[in-house]
Amino acid sequence: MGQATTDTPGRETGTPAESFPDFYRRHSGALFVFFARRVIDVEVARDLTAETFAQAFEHRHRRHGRRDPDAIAWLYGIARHQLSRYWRRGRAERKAIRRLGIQLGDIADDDLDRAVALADLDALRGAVASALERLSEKERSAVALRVVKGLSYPEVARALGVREPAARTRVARGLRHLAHHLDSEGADVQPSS
Amino acid sequence: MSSRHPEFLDDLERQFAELSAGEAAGRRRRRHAGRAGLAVAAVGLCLASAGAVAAVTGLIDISGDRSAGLVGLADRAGIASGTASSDRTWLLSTARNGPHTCLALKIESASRLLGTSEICGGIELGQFNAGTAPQGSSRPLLFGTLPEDVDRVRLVDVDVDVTETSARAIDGPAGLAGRFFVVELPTADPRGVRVELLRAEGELARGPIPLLQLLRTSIAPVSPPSAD
Repeated sequence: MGQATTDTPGRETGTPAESFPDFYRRHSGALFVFFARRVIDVEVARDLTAETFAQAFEHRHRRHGRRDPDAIAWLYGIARHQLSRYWRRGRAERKAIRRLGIQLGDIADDDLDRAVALADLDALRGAVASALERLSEKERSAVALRVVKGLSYPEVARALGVREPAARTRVARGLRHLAHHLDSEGADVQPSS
Repeated sequence: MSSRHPEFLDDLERQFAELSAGEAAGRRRRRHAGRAGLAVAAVGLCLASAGAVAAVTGLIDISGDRSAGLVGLADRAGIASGTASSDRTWLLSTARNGPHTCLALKIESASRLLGTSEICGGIELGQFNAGTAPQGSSRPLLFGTLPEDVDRVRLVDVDVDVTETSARAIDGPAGLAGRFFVVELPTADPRGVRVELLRAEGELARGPIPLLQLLRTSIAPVSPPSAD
């Protein structure tokens, strides 16, 4: 007689247990690039990376016993879910980040440059600019202001004459449509270097 | 980490390392606290995560429950009672109806009957069977029977967030050799919920099974978990 009381991790089945920090170290760079190439925004990609790993940390017992490809698929399953929520809402979720007390500070300019280089975003921006014509007028304006001109969200909102949340949603939805176009043209996903 | 990596990724790595180190330290402290400490911690977690469960070992007087739609069998035996969210209490009971086993969940709030859900026929003790007790806007309860080698049921919602609830198997009362469970869904919407059956060591014995798929076939027993 009883009820759930403990959180017993599953046993490893064949491979030695990899600590969560090691798991993070192995996959964080690739996951950040995965996000950055889709949202074309370093800060949003950083937040999505952090939230994905925070959720993975909270449910890390589910990684135990999985073979490496399955663990990676599990991680990217969380990632795609986060990306989908971002595209719907225009904001990266921060629930698990807050629950764990993870701090996300401002991104310094030189760090921004490193992130842009890692994800090869400059090359992607050219493809984005040429693909903008395939978006609706509202989404095209929002994405162009944010991604091509590099304005902040408050500046995008002022330029469009809407509130900031609406501007964020418009940019996110435009990026989602843009990602589909870029995927279909083979321009997305993998950085050139 | 490569020099090309942004520092914010390194900063996150440091924070996850600290969280992992804190968790490991917590595990060591709990081990050193001994059995009494473990028992206290377990009870606390039980109350916080899934509500308290109490054994019911005698026969239940069902004369007042006919309006609730329970089959009026004299041998109805209580299995367990417990609490759920929204100040609800539940009582799991079983009865025989000819060759069939019936399993019922009765839900009350402040002694007011909210409803019952009962599955009769097709249930075989020692196999996995499940039914739900929906409760309007409250989170539904899933209940049923389990194979002998399953120690715990875990429900994972993969749609809204990765949230989960779980409940440990409940041994049947004297004279009823079966294992049972009652667990509250992690969300009110069952569409994204997956059911996992776990062994005592935490190994996945069966699943994940989409809850809706399970309920469509739940009146017929689900095959017992296969060994890994």
